[in-house]
Amino acid sequence: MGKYSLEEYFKNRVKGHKETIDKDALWHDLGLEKKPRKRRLWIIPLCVGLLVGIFNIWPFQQEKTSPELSSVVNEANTLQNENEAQIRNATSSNVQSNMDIEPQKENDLINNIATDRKTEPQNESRKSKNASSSFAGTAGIESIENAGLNPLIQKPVLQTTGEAKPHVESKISKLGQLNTTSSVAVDRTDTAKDNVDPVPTVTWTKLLEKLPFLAFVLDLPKKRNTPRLNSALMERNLIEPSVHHNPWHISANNSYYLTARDIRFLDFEGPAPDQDREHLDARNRTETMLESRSVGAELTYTFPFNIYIGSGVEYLQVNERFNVQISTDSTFIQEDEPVIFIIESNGDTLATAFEDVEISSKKTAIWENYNSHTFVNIPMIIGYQHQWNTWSFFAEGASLLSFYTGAEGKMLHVDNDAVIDVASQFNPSIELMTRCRAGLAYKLTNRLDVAVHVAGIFQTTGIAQQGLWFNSQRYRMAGAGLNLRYNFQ
Amino acid sequence: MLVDKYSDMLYAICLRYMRNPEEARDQLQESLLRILKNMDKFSAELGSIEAWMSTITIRQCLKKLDRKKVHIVQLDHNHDQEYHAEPDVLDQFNTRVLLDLIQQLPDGYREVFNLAAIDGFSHEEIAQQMGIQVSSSRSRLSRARAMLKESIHQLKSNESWVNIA
Repeated sequence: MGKYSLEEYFKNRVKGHKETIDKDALWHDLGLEKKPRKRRLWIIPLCVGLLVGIFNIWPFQQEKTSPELSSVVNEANTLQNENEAQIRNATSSNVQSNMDIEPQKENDLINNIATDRKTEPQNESRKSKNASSSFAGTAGIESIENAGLNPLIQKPVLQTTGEAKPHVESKISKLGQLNTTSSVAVDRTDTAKDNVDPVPTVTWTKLLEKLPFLAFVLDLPKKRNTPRLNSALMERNLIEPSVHHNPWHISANNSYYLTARDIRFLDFEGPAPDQDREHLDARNRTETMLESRSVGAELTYTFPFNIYIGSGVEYLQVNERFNVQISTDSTFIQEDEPVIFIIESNGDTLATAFEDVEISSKKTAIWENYNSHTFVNIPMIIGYQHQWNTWSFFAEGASLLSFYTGAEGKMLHVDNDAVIDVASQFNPSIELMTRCRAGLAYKLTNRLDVAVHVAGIFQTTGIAQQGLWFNSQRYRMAGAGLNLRYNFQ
Repeated sequence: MLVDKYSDMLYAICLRYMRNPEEARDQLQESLLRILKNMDKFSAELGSIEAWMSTITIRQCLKKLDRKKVHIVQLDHNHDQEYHAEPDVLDQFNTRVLLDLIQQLPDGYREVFNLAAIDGFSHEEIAQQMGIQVSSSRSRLSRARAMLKESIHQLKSNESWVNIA
């Protein structure tokens, strides 16, 4: 048995050994000492937002089905069903559902519209944009838009009213010809009131019909006209420009910021500037990462002149990483301190003992620290947006009433990443910050926008300086993120 | 569950470091609470979960022992000699007997033996963690080894390990 055999023997036998313990009793003891979990506060505003959304949608849904309109829609449904049967009979199996408008056909369409426009009487009722003042005219316009260019709207209302003018029907037929490509054999007559332009059914719209709430909320079936065609139609007052009838929007946003390196959480409640700040300076030198993340929800109101205001709630987390090297000198009197000389050649040891030995030691340790500082922000937003067909630009400024809740830190051993200690500190204070944000939004559906933005946050001032962990005027970050905005149409 | 799966292994670690099963059980509870609290901070970069939990448990035990006043026993040079036992003789010992032998080591020596011989820490790391000098760590390991050899010698001669097991 060599010098290290005993240690190896113990290691082999003991390392990884399991000693049975009563699990039920252990669970019982742990249960008594377990602390309640932290509540996820961001769930509350999310739920409030959802509730607000649902209660905003409902009245507008009701408004859309007025008794007068419902009767017309019912008649249209009847005609639609008959017409679909007719189409199915006429087309054995070869109905194409590709509704994309080819460029050449788009040109033809615009030219046709322009030609018809020249012959139109100037006092046409369709020029009216007010649906209630000229129901038939508006219905005709809607039918042009829907029947011709929107493949998923299957209710051509115009034919049921009996009041639409012939030139409008002519456009419907032209648009319909563009849509129903080659293989749909349907007898069309430009002047026939009973003839409904066939709009092939797309499979997934049937799926959405089974999920009416989802279809309504997301408004997915709207396939838009091309911007060029839309412009042509709008110039000729054949369609109404897209307007949101409800000025309220709710949005969720998520951002990632790189934080300026001069954000120093250096002003601990601890040593004054003229006192020993060695460890703080060490922290300053070794800071290697500073980044922030935020997630929030906002409710905005848009005025007719494209200015919007809003507010919401945002969770902001600032993460930092740094190393701290701490050296401590200690001197103590050790009684009967053994002094052992190990002779490496043969493994023998020579030991002796002294009394009252003064031992001086200098201990140096390097710890890697990860701290997370958490804020809950209440933004007060004012912004401007400019909307094109499907794209919109927005720029906004906001004052953030920021509640700093405290920090949570994890200390790791530099060499092996083992967790040394975990600590948290509740250190509330109130800050005022300024946020600037600008971005581009794309209209996914009539109700849903997605946007990318860039943003900057600057600390304005501290309302409650007592207890703050960082310097005022030095807190700033820049980053980018995503928005998802829901429009209450 | 995590606790069910690893509690036996962690309990064995606590038994090695603490003086008796009651203290070991207390430190196991503390360690498990700490593990559960920080579970969301664990990532694969920290190594295996088993090693991570073992490290937390060891540090919890050391933290507990550090609060106690460590009494260093006087050396007895007569016992510091090689123990020439055949491996098959040592294999007769039950693992629980070996744990008891480690437990019987005095405070200060027991931690060093566990850290150095079983958990594979260097003397520099041990000195840093326990706040002692490297030479002290070496000497304590040497003394612990000598004490264990003496204990095994006595066990073998009296065959008392049968009763302990």
